[in-house]
Amino acid sequence: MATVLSSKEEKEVRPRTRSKPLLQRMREHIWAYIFLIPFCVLTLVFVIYPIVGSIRYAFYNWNGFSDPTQFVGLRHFFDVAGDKYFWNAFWHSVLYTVVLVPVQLTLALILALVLNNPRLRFVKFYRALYFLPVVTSMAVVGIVIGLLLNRIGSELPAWLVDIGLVKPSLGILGDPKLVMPIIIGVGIWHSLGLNMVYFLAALQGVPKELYEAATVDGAGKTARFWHITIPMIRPVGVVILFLALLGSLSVFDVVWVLTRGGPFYSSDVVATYIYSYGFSSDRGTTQANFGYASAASLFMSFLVLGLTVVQAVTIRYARGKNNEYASSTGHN
Amino acid sequence: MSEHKRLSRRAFVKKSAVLGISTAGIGGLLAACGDNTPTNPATTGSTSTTSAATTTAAGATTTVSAATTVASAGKTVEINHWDWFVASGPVLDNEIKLFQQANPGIVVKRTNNVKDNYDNLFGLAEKGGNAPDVFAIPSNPSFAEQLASGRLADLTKFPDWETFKKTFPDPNQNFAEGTNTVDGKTYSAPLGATNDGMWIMLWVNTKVFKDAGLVDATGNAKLPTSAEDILAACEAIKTKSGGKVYGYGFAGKSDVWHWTTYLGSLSGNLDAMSGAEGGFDSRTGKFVFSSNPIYKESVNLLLQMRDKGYILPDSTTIDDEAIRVLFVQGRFGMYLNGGWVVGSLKKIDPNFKDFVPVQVPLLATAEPKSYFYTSPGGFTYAISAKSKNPDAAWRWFKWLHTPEVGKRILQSGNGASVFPEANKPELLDDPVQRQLLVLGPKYSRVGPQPVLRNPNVGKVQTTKINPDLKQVIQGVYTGQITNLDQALKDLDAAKQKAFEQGIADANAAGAKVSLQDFVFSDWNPTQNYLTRKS
Repeated sequence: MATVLSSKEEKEVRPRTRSKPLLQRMREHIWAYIFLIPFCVLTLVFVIYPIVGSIRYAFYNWNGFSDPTQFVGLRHFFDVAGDKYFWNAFWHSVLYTVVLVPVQLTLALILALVLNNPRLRFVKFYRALYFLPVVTSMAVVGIVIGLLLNRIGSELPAWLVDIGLVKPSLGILGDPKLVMPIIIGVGIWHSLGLNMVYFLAALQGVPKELYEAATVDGAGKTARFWHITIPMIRPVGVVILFLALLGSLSVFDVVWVLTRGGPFYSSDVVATYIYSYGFSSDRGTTQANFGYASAASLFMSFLVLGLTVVQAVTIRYARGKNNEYASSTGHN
Repeated sequence: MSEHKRLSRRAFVKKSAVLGISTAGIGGLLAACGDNTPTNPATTGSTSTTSAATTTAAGATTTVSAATTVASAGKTVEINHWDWFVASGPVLDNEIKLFQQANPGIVVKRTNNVKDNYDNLFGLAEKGGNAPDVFAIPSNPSFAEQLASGRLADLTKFPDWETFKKTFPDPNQNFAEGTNTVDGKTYSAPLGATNDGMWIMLWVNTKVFKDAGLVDATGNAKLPTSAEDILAACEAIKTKSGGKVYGYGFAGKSDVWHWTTYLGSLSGNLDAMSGAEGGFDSRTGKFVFSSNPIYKESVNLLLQMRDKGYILPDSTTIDDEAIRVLFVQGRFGMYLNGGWVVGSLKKIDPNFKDFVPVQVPLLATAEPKSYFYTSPGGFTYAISAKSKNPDAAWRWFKWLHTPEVGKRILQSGNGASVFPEANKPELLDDPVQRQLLVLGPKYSRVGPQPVLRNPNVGKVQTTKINPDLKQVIQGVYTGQITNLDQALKDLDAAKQKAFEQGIADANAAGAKVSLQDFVFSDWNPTQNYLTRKS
């Protein structure tokens, strides 16, 4: 078992490490830096550069061809901020997130708890079954679900019409009241297996001795869950939570494949809003405008950046709490 | 489906037609050449081979330098061809086969891209130094911008250019300055019929009509020519089928909501023109969605059909491909689409013959108040200015632009050719094709072209607005918009503002352009119009 350093001991160790020259410290960890290089390069090329580039484009009218020449200043930002359809899309992104994340994570945790039971028969089969949607392309999922819901020439189930849930003239995906619930449902189902696997991994990392000791001390199932399981999986849980939040806020594929944001913006999310400006054109002089799309995406980027900062701070806090807990129980 | 796509498809039809013409011409020439068809240059040397090939492609008898440089010394040259055409894909593949037989030293590698991503993919390929040698010209950015960027090769530099140009029926019109030709340099050539601007029409499933008792005195399906006819046909279909078959359908997922307004293209809607702003009245320079009653008239026709249960319920959420299948299956009687659909319908069911095109109806008028508008010039394909094998690319380009290829494209159901000799109805076995050949020119006129007056209009970029016409119609259809009049007024205001802003931005960036460049106050929409340079 690894030794857990007390705060005092940790402080005593740190100054010695810091006192070494930077180059010497880098040399000691040279392989760590080498392994980090590909990630850093890819991040620079595919994340940092586009963000910086889009800042410049946001000040121009630009159809993506040649160099931008029509400078418009801050106009695109004001237009985005004043466009009620941007806020409509933003609201849908938030709605998708606040519904999907808690529901999905709760379901994923429940499933993980069930599938973590070694006495359950066919447990590997169930795990594979729930994980299957994750490895299935959302494009494929969207097309199949679209076909199922569109009926393609067959009649709607009469009871759906009778109870007033579906209007025959609009169908299911054409009904503004039904599209968001359907999209959220598909989103939950599609990535449920991934979070289930994360939770499973976290659960399997909880030392059995803790449960045994708690049982000896007379703790019931509920107490063991709240006082051992939850604290021990908290760090992983926080990561899962923020990954789910970030993924949900930037949702695009499921919406685009199923409804393209329609009907009449009822399922438009920020990503489809941005896409509609950057990658589509209309009649006559109406063209794609990467400048406007960049201005809209910058807003989204700042939002996601803010969440990432919150994520980092929270994870640090959770880890601290977990270390304290591990120290108090003698586990690390 | 966006208007952008609409234009592209029309362009595609033109292109295909030209392609067909060219290919057909070439193919025919190839066939006609018989013994003249070159043998493999790998074994016989390049000069005689290329000579024959060039003769075939250009319809000329002179040997050109292109011929002598391609496939020299037995080397095979590969050229890349890009397009987004689906319906005419098989014809193009066949033309490649014929071309390669006639030009054994050249291999044409065709890449068929998805239309929705074509412009972006092309831009990326170009930035990566992998632009195709011959390509369907991307719809976005504008032709003028692509020209300014140096993307397109100047065709007049090829030694046999003049010979090639003379093969066209009306070179002055076909290569009009301001269209595919700028400052005397030509960058493309027309492919489709220039007198046929009718890119959309009403398709009728004649079996559905006959089953509903909608027949004329001769026993043929009684085709609708007015709003009243359409509603009556829908009612008959619904009643006779017991509600199992619908009168009308559309592909809402393919973004074709605004097509509804093209129901009024012969009744005062002036939008059916290449490059036209939707809702823009070129006579006044104003957007008229709310003041020109034809828009409301068209939408109301759709709403009437919806309220009476005449419209296929799937329409709001299915795409173009799915609705074609349902049309072939006889699930509904009528829908709007273009001439290109023939090939697709035949692909779904080669034996499907129960369909016929008819011009869009006259709404609240006895005589046409407007038409489908064409423009001189025309462009479908171009050669990359950075092609590593320009001579081979030029030969393939010429092959595509011949009457024989046009003939084959026409016969495949992909539109008429720029070459009149390819468009003879007697060449067509299919009555649908014959009907298209008659209808197109009948309901087409030459419209005003701002780009001919001032090429700088191509620099005007308007940012799309929310909601645009297609969203308004979608919103009205689903019940999310309840006040159509107000929605159309708002649309006018937003479009006018965005358009004028686009002009102002272009001017601020140095382009000399004004709203007046788009205004043709002397235009009579029922007559051909000759645009004069300003």
